[in-house]
Amino acid sequence: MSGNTASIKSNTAIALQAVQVSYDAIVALDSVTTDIPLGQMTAIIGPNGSGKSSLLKAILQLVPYSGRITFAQGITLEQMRPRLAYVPQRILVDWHFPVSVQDVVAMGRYKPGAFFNRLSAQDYEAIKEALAETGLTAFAKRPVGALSGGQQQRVFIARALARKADLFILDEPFSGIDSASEENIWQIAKALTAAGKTLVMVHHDLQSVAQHFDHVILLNGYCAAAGPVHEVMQPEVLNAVYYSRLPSSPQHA
Amino acid sequence: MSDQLWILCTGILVAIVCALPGSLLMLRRQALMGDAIAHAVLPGIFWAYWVSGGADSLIFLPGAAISGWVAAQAIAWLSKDNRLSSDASTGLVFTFLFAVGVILISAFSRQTDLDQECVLFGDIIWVPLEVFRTEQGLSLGPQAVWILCITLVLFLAVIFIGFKGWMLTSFDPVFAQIAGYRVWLWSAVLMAMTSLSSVAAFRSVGAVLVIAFLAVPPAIAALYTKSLRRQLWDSCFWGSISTVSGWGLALYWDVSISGMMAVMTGVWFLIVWSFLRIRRWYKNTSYATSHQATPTS
Amino acid sequence: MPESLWIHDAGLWWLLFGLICIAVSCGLTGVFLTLKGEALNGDVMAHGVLPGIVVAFMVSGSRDLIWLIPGAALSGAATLWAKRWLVATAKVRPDSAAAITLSVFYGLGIVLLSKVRQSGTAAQAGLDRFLFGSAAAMLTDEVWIAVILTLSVVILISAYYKGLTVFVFDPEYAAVAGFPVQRLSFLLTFLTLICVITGVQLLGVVLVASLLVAPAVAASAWTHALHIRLILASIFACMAVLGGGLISASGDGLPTGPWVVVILSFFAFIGIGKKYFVRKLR
Repeated sequence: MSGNTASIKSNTAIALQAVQVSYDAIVALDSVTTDIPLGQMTAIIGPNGSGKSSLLKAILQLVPYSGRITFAQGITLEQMRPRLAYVPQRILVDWHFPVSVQDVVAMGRYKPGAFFNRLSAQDYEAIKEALAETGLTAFAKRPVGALSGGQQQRVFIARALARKADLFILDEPFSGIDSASEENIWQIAKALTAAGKTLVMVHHDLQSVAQHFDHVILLNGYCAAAGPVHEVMQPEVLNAVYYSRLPSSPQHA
Repeated sequence: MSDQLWILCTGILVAIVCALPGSLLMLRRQALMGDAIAHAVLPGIFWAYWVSGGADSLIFLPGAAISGWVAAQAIAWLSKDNRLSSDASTGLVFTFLFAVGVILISAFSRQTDLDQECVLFGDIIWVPLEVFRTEQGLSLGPQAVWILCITLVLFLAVIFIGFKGWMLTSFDPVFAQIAGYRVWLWSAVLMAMTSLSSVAAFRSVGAVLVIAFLAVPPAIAALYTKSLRRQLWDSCFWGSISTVSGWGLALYWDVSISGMMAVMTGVWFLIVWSFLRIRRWYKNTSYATSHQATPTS
Repeated sequence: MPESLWIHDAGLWWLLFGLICIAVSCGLTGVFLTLKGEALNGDVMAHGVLPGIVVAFMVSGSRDLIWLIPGAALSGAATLWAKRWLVATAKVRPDSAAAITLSVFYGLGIVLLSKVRQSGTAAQAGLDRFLFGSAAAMLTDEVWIAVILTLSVVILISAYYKGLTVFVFDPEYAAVAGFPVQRLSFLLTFLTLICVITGVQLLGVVLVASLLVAPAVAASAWTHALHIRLILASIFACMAVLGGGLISASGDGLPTGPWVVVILSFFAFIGIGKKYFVRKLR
């Protein structure tokens, strides 16, 4: 749909217009209209049940939604797919699957329509680089079940890196991982945005938002606030949504 | 080729034909779907026998696989769109279709040369006798073997050509979907393969024991494999070992061949598991004795 | 072909009462079981009772339920125990473990059954009814057993009603709130085992899962209130069991199980259809 290209700002990575997600009669996310900026690191935050994962799923068309979601230059998700990389929650995957670290990273280079899916030299190059960036080169042949939580998360990051994408979408990549892995992932994220890539992350830890992100979307079943990090990460704004004092963890029990 | 050899050959083919989709089902945590499909093919099998007027031609058996595939789609639809829990939708669909199958078979057993016996036990004994014959009356070998071979070649092609796709759609379907894979299509193909193997195996081991071959050999391989390739090959191996040992013991003790084959899948599981346990214990104790200090975790 | 032994000493009403008892206990337990999402545990146990029944027969030489029931109970319990062992110790995925135990135990039952069959048709008929079920084959004593077992089910459910309800809806909350979750879990398993044992005479090993699942599914379409669901499920189960029993008794050698299942499934499909159209029309 290129009809409204003119109205999409050139520095927008994802444009959302009146996006609503409902499961049967329950509205999980009500009429979100906002733009996710290009080349910056955006955090999607909010209390439990505020619709963070619904928003992500709507962008990735994993759930039906009403409203419009377009990507840079007014292109659709289908056109965006080759330039898009997704890092899911670790919990959704069966880590006892008989695959090695390298196998999983290689999955980032598969092409959906191809028979046999032979990987080219270029593909192998990308895989090697991705493993090096995440510090997993030594683990390449290891079965994924033998890894720690932090290492598993880095495998997913490596898979996303291998795609050489422009837009990275991550779902809570920092939950339950060790500090070394965390450091590694922040480094990678910074390097990506420095190179002009766009990162969108569902994040749960309010403490680290101001330090690392450029742009924030605060959800509470609707879009409570969206803008540069220092505008949104103000006590009044956050209190209105989280109902308790900072800096201790503001999430509901 | 002697009759007994044909029976063995059939058994091994059944094992392999079931181990392949069975491995994928197991990895996708859909083992009970295999259970459901194996039951649900029964009405389709009745249809195949009815249409062909008896056991003259098993050509219609692939058509019978459709009822299994339909069952899988029905279960998926019920669990998703209707928010019925997956165990309830599975239990509902497979019992209904199995019941329909039993009613049709017992009502029309004269016309179809099928009866409840056959449904439960299969009659692998008769396999060598139903052969394809050329116009000159020359035997081309048992029909069951032909059908199983064709099915096997088909499965190997599908799995080999789409290997990376199977790996990805089974390991991380959400990532696959976002990358542009039609995950529903891969799933539908797997359900079709499972139906086909249930139908192809039905003749040899009967409706319910197919499940043993779909579920157990893959689980044996999963006890120790680290790659998908090994998983697929080894489950075929364990399935074959179970059929051969089951056949041998069944003849020795004069009991149901198909039942014994199913039991042997379980026996081999225990044997492999015990072996791995003992080997691990042995490694741990020899490590402990050769390194006096406490081992690092 | 399993023989439909005609009704012996049991008066028709007494037999029908027995059928109703079986239906009620399965209907009630099935509601809790499906809410917990463990309906297929019943299927696993059902396939697993077969070897126990045959062994009990071989040991006692009698096809009386009073001998077969302990065998069935032990065997069914063993199957579930094996499944849990596979998950806990052999690290098998839970759905795989269910499929493995049900098929291997069932296979064992078939092997033993084939051994028994060699000794003649009387033994055969006595045990074959557990494969596909037969209403008409129940004798007076057996109806008594069904009645007693059903009474136990009803008493247990009434006694533990609140606990069961909370446990089934939210086991974590139940644990935190102080309910004896271990005991409740065991209770549910025990109830399922009783239902499976009584149900297999009627529907046979493969199909008895339907009697646990379908009435609950059907009832859930018409009400959200648990106690009404329990009543509705029992009613649907009774109608199906009586209907299926009558159909099978009227024909020559028609197995009961499949007919009961067809009727049960109809109720369930009607319920699903109703829910579907209500949603679409909203």
